[in-house]
Amino acid sequence: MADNNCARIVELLSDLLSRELTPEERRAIDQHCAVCPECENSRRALHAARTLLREHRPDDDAVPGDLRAALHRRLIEERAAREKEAKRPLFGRPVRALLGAAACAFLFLLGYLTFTALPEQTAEEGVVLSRSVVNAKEPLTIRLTYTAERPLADVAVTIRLDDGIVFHTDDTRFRDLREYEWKGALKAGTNEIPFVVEVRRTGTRTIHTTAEFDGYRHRHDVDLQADGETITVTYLSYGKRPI
Amino acid sequence: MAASVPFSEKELVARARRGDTAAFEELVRIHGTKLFSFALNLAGGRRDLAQDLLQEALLHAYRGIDSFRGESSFSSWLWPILRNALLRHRERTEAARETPLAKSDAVADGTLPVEAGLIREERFGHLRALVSRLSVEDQEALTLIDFQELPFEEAARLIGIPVDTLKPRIFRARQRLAELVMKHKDLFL
Repeated sequence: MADNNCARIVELLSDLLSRELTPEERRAIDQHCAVCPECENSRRALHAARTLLREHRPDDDAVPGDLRAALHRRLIEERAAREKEAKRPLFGRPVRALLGAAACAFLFLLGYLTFTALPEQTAEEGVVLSRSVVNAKEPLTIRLTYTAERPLADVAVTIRLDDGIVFHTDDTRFRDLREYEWKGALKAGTNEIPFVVEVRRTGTRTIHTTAEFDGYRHRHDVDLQADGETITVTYLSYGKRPI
Repeated sequence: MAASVPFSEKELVARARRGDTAAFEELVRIHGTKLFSFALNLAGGRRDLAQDLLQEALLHAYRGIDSFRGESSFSSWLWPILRNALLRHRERTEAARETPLAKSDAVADGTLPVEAGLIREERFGHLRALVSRLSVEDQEALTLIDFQELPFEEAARLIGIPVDTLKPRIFRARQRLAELVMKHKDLFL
């Protein structure tokens, strides 16, 4: 039969999982539970819960093998999606990515020179930084590699396509774009801007780029010589000139 | 034959940041038990749900690993990300009434059938269902201290609070759990 000590006993029992009760407290619980089935059941339930916690082993919660397998599959998919995203044309990506990627000084792929290393004046023919041959049937990925020795403010980068070259993108904002200009700041270090173009005519055409900062205009071109089967890609530097 | 030298956690993180999924999976293997234990408690002991929750949370962490600057240990960085991801998932499912905590709701209503001779695993499932009714802070403390048996110092570091804050928190969490056990004592008799 319950008595008016139930509230006090329940309070003591609430501490059963939290701390060791004193001998006096245990005696009070014993005396009360002997005449109160309700509190006795509470005590038995708490003892059972405490035993369950004590018998539980940390390794009982080890990550199941099927979760690891499922995670493995999802990570592979995630990585593939990232790689696919990286191959998408620059102008087909969110503007945020576009601006972030453009925030750097630049050189073309394989042309690992810093702007400060460029001569102030070069021949009109330009200096060949690299040359490669690619399949004309596939869209062509251009990777602008931007390297700056220090953060640079107020940089303007312009990319202009000759006729017969288009940006390869599903984004209607950029599909028919012939020229793109970005203005912003550069961070120190090396960065890449990949974008994808399609060469729709044979012959030699050019992607013209300029970057303006520190009172100079830096010019780099990508010459594309297409014969229908292959495209010879030549990266050229024209150095820098005072603006 | 020379034994292979395992990568340090720092090296694994660096590799994972470069997109190495195997390195990330190794990090999950190292920390997975604590994480899964927390997910189990949050899911009220339902292993299928806990697996789904943890998988989504880990993917979330993988996507955001670039934000890890190495100023703390990887587990300290990972824990709040997972806690928040798990919590968001629970809020969504509860709001949509697709509640994965059906067992817990039933417990709260006192409508779960009490079968004679419940095996230990079933009772433990009931206990976890009650734990899932507690606040996330309480679950976190119980998971690390009582389920994973971590030292207070390590658990406090993982959660990101001082040991002096964790001690009263675990005390109160155990009290609240005890109150729930007494309220639903039939499940444990």
